[in-house]
Amino acid sequence: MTKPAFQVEGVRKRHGDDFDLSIDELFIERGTVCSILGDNGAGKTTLLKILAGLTLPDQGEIRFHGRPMLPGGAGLSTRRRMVFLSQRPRLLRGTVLRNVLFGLSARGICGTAAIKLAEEALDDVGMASYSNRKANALSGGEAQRVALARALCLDVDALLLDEPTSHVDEDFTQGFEACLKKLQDDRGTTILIATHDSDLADRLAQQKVYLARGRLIQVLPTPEERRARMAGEPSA
Amino acid sequence: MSSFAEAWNLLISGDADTWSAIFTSLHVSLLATGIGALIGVPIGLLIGARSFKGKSVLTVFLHTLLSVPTVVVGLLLYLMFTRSGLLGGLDLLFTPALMVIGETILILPMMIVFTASAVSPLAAEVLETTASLGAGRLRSGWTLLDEARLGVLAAIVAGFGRAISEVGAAFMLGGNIRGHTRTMTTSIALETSKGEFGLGLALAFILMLIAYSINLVFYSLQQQSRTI
Repeated sequence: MTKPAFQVEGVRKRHGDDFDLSIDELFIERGTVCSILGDNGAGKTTLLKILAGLTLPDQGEIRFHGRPMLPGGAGLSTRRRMVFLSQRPRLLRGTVLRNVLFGLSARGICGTAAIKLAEEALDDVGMASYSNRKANALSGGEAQRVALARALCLDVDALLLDEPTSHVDEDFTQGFEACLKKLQDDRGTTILIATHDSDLADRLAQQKVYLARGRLIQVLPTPEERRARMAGEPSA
Repeated sequence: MSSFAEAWNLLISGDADTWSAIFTSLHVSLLATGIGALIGVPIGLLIGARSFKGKSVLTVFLHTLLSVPTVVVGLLLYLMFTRSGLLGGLDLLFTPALMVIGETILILPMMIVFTASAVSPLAAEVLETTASLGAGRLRSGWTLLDEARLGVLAAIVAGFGRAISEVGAAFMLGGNIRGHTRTMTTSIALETSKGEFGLGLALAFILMLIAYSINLVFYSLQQQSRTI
């Protein structure tokens, strides 16, 4: 039976004067790649941040793996089961390796085990030789790769990526897609990707959510198809 | 030039009064700076990083405190610690301990305001990054301070500068007792009132030299951390 990673009910969030994010119902399957599509300003980032527990909605309920997030936002233990990667990631001061170690260290993983994981992740994004470079001297694309490695090395249930390929070249995009597929196959990680790149979504996603001005305009598979599948019936 | 020569002579001859004033000045200002940083930096971090009701009112109030004359702080503490005062029983008036308390109170608003200004522009981005990577509040706060380290160091340096150059509160709370609570600034004031301008200038020169040396250390620290 399909299990939920995220369940969203009646979520509302005022976003400046631009729009109100308003989502009556959304179900994101566990272990799938779900792309959140929409133009600039559609509310993709706001939705991702709410799901990541980084932004509090004005109202509504969100469940992660069946458990409600705290009324005051996601607790630390819930936040440690997911990782959000911003479109413009900030690298902290120090070396590239120190940056990648940050999330591991926050989870109590230190020493050689942590360094091994960090170096593997840097290798996955083609930045293995940068590990002792200063993070603040990297270009935008390099910084995005390092931020990606910082997220990939964490053993989390959900990976939330905001326009992850916006500053990287096409060659890297292919490697990045392979990385995500491996994560999904090996660890069963739920991967949410906010993007305006429909080709990327077509290649990777099993679920698609379309947003426009803060409203859900289409979800694929549809809730009916999903419910039918969950009930063990063939989908229409 | 004679003042410089006199200053030099006072230093190398080991003049007890001069060295006692130097020691008291450094002892009181460094202790006040340390205590001020321990209290002011975390408060500044909280104010700069968080949004809460009344934040702007509090910020304006703290900025106002930056302009409070040092003699006003001296007067209020004097009234509180004088024998008939609320805390008179502690018997701290005219001691270096009360001078430290006075200087700490004086520099605290500066430490808080400067720290808040240093962390505020970085807070949203850094805290989102640390939270998304699973850091708790303590680690996130520490990381934010680390990212804003140049501004935080500037807050500490500015606090030290105000403490070591202050004369009003030091005079009122310490009583300018020779060999005990006399600092370089109170000594300069005394020598000037006696018409001993040469000695006053000599002490002023020593004060500037010490302030310059300590600022040089802080500046080197800033430069070092800028490159890391």
